[in-house]
Amino acid sequence: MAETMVVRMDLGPCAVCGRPAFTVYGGGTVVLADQAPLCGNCVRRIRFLYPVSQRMQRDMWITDDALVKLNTEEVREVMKTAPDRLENLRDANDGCDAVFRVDQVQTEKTGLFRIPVLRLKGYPLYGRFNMGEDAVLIHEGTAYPVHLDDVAGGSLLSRAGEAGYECTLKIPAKGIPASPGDTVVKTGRQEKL
Amino acid sequence: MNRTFACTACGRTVREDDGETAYLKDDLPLCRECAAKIRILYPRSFTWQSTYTESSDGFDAGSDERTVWVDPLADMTMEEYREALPAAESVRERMRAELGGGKAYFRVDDNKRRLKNAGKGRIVPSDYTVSGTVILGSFTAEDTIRVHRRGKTLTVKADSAERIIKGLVPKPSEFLDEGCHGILVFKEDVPFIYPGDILEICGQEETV
Ligand SMILES: [Zn+2]
Ligand SMILES: [Zn+2]
Repeated sequence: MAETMVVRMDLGPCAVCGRPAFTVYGGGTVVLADQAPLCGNCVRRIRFLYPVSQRMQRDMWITDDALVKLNTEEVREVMKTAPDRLENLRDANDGCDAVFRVDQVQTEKTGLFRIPVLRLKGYPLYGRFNMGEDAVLIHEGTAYPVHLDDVAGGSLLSRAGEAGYECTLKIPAKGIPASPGDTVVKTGRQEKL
Repeated sequence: MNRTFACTACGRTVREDDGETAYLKDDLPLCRECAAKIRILYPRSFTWQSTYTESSDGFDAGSDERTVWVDPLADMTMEEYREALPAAESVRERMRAELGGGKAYFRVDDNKRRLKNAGKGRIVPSDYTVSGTVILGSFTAEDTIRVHRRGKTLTVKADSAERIIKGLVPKPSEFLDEGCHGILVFKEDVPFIYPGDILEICGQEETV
């Protein structure tokens, strides 16, 4: 007789919304300080306040996530104030729909007669940056329209960068100055409505 | 599937609608409408499940990992279902008082852009999708969506709506009803809609 075992691949119900909290397949669940799981959907609502960072330690990547130091009650409080904090952040950034902070700039040569690609590594502070979109690079107070040829290293396979996770925006380098501390913003859509 | 059955709650004869029919304990069928009456309290949710088969001689005879939809109604008796009806109604009333007079309310889980395969392995961006749950009421893609942002209201319209019934593949749907997991599809970016937002849905006639 063959024996079949069926196992649920989640950590139980999310401490806040009650939905199954899973880590597999990009589920994004975080286990909080009181060992309660917080599902990816709940995490996404507050991730902009707790960016994930990675550092190298003895040939190994260590992920630092301040969210795991919070307990369920603290997370509930953060979730209540998150929409206002996001609005404050938006106000502080002239009402832009999304803002990316540039931490590192690399120029990548793509061929002898081809326009090199600028790789801007950093964090979306809020909002989302998708491959194929137009955005604006703010460098020393001047705005340069840019096209996002690709977005790498954000959420798995999505070619997008989301708030709180490091990613790389790839833009054609032609006539574009960029340096750490610059911002890339998405503007306009809300203003048009 | 074309099997028909009599709904245990309302008695109507309905066609078995793949994935939309709910089953109470002991496999008592409920039509979609009757199930929807208490989805506000007992929504379906999905997770991943792994199935591992070991043959009699102890060898691994195969395993797979797939999404499963978990339906809390499956553990309920008919009596518990009837008791849940007034409980659902009082939650509905409380939420209406809290949220306002909109036709429906939709809580956003994610706002992301789809990718599509343009052939020859080339991936190109496609529609924008806002996924989430209908937390109160029901609506169609033709309805007006309002995003409230501190003192101002933005008005948008989705191009279509989808819902996930089985697995993780969304299907176009004419309506999204209370408690369902749905997707609003936009041709244009809606970057001002954030995870956690509660969208207010108004009737078509209210379009400004
Ligand atoms: Zn959750
Ligand atoms: Zn019925």
